[in-house]
Amino acid sequence: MSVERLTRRVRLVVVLSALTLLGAGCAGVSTDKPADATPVTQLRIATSFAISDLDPLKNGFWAPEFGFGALLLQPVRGGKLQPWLLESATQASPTTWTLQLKPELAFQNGRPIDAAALVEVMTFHLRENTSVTPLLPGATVAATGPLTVTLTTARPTSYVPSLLAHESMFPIFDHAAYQKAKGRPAELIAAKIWSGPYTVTALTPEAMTLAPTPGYRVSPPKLEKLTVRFIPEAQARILAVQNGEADLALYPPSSAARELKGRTDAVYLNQDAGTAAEGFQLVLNPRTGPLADVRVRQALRFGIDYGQLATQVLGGQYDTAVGFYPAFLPYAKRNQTFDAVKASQFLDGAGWVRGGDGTRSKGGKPLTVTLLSYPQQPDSKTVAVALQAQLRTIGVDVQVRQVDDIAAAAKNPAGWDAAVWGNGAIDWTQTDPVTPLVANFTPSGDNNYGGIRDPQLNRLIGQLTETFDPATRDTLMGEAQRIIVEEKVHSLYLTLKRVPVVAAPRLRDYQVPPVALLWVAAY
Amino acid sequence: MIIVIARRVGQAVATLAVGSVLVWSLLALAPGDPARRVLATNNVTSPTAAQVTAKRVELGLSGQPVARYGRWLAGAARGDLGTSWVTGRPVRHELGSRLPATLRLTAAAVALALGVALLLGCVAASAPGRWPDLAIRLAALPALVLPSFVVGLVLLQVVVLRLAQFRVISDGSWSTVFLPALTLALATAATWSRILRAGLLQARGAPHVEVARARGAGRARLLLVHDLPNALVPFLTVVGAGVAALLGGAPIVETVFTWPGVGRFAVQGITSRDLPVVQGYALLGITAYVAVSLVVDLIAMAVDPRTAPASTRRVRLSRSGR
Repeated sequence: MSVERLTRRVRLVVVLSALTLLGAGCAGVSTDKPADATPVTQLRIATSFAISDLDPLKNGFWAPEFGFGALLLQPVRGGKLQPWLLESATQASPTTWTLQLKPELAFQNGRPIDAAALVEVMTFHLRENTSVTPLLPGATVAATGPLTVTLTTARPTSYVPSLLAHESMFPIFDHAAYQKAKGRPAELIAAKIWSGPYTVTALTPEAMTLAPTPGYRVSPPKLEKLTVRFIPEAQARILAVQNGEADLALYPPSSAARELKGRTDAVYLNQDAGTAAEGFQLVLNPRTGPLADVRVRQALRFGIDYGQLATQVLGGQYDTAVGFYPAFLPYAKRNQTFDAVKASQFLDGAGWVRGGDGTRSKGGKPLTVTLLSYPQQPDSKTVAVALQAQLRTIGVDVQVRQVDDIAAAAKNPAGWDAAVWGNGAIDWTQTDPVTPLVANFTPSGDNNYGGIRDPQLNRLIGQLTETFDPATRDTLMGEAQRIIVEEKVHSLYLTLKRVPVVAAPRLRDYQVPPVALLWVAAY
Repeated sequence: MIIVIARRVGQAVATLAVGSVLVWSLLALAPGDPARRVLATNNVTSPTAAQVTAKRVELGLSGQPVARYGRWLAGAARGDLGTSWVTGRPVRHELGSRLPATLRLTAAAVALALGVALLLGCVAASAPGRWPDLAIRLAALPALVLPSFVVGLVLLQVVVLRLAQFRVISDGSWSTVFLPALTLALATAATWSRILRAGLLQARGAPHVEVARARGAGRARLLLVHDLPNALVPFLTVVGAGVAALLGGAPIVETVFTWPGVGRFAVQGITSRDLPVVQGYALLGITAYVAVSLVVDLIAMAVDPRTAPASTRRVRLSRSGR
């Protein structure tokens, strides 16, 4: 073949390829990127969790997060609650609470939200909602006025206001309409049972579309349209923001902060430093293995470099854990500090002797700790590997085991010594530390995976449940932390995650909710 | 011929039966108690023993394994694949509502792959060992070795973000099918084009092609009239298997492109340990594969008697020789 003929063929191939690409390009859909200056009247959120239907028991907790449902009280910054559907919630006696509704409220279907409607829905939650039933056993509600409801608890319960503001406890909906449409997703949408500023107009496996609720009185909705897309793939959510197809990508991985640095098509935002309340807890299993000895648990407490975890290992997207509670809480104690010398002293005192390879052993048995992590929280593996490196310096051999179902693995009393667990020491509203204490440390607690039986702590939790005075509560909380972290080392907090989002450039001023995940509360 | 067809159908049914046992075992061998898992999904985190027992009965988890398998198989034969533990809706409806999107993606991917494979296969076979053949071989290499999610992500980064064409979020319509279909088609086309090239070269060596060439048939006529029909039978068999595999959904590609098909739904089912969905998806995939393979085999037998079993051929030859 001559050179000229070869050149002609190459040209032909290039031209054909270009035409193919051009044709493909013309067949594409325009990306319709909004300009940065466009006022926020439409919001498109990409999230990882799909909402299958609007059933309050199954998916009610999404209602306040995406604006289609409201709560009685609203958690705000600083560990405080403000009225939402209620005008006030006042304690009339140790076991009686008076709930006063705002006037002229209505569900999205037009039915008034009055005392009768509130009694219906609260009674339903007290009986059917398994998040509520163990926390308020024997509680009753009764209408005591057109807009007044009295809640009576079986025992003095300090955390009642927090429950009224909790997304999983008392999301408010039209119970009568719900009963008629229950079990039929399309009818649940048509029944407009919810109470929030935005009404769901369509729900498919791919997306939920919402429109402003006409005549909404609590706070007039600012958006003309709200779309929530369900995209499980984290990278696809971020790409959707970069390409102008979404405005907010929720639950991005920490690595996105690095990847988006310097880019102009998306911005990585997170909660202000020092405001994070949830993160990774080190759940300990003292029933078997080396952690049965409190001195080994003390060694872990002092052998972990909490500052390094937050600032270096996790790239500054986390706050340093200084104790069991976030430092901004009034009762938080700073009792988690890194001190390798002290850690080694505890292990020496417990009889664990360093061997030639640096690992300690006792009676020929190496000091090995099996540490669980899980793929649903990718950063848990990163933290676990960092702990492995940190604790090696004090002679502890950490074996990291990634498990698919960490709850199932931890329910087994044997086979693990510790777990890196995504959790929060205070509740979703950041106002109640008691219910997490009940769940984590009482014998019947749902999250007591370490099988902790501590009568002293149980008594304290019982006292906290019935204590209303803030000063007394803070004193008791200090005592609880002394037991949990300083004396018994039942558990530790490793680091606190500042909730991140990836936002479109026009939303670079978006404020990640400092408390709770009310993504559209600002709109 | 009827005996051959019956035997082939019998093989397909036996394959389906073995597949169904494996699929059913997913639930039977899964760690943990499915009843407790379903109750936890429905917000019952600390169920009573009675609640667990009732849920076990409802899920068909009580009784001997053989009886349970029988009940499950009978249900599956009626199209009852159970209820999703996550959504609470029948798996049949969940898969059925997503199947059109997967069929659309499959059709587009197969059309693209066929077009590219026919073009590249014919070009490569027309100049074996020369630069077009080498160039196509080189181009096919990355398409074959790169995982589809890497190809998908590269296409999203380059075509969507840099060239500002197409969308990240696919809605399952024809207007958003091109990129996911292209991702699926690339590796498939690379394989198919190599098989077609080999088939064409083999067909070219046949005596009747030599005769046609000696009688002055042109290159185009030789390719289209003599080589291609003879190379198509093995090619169609491979295409059929590829189509069958695609019909079962393309979980990775559907996930990368947020394509609302059965594959992506299966990935969600796996992530949330929604075993009835995983079972239903696996059964759908196996059935599609077996059914399409059966149809392709039967077509191949009809088109080319050489692919029929030897005993049938002998009968036919003896009859034709009479």
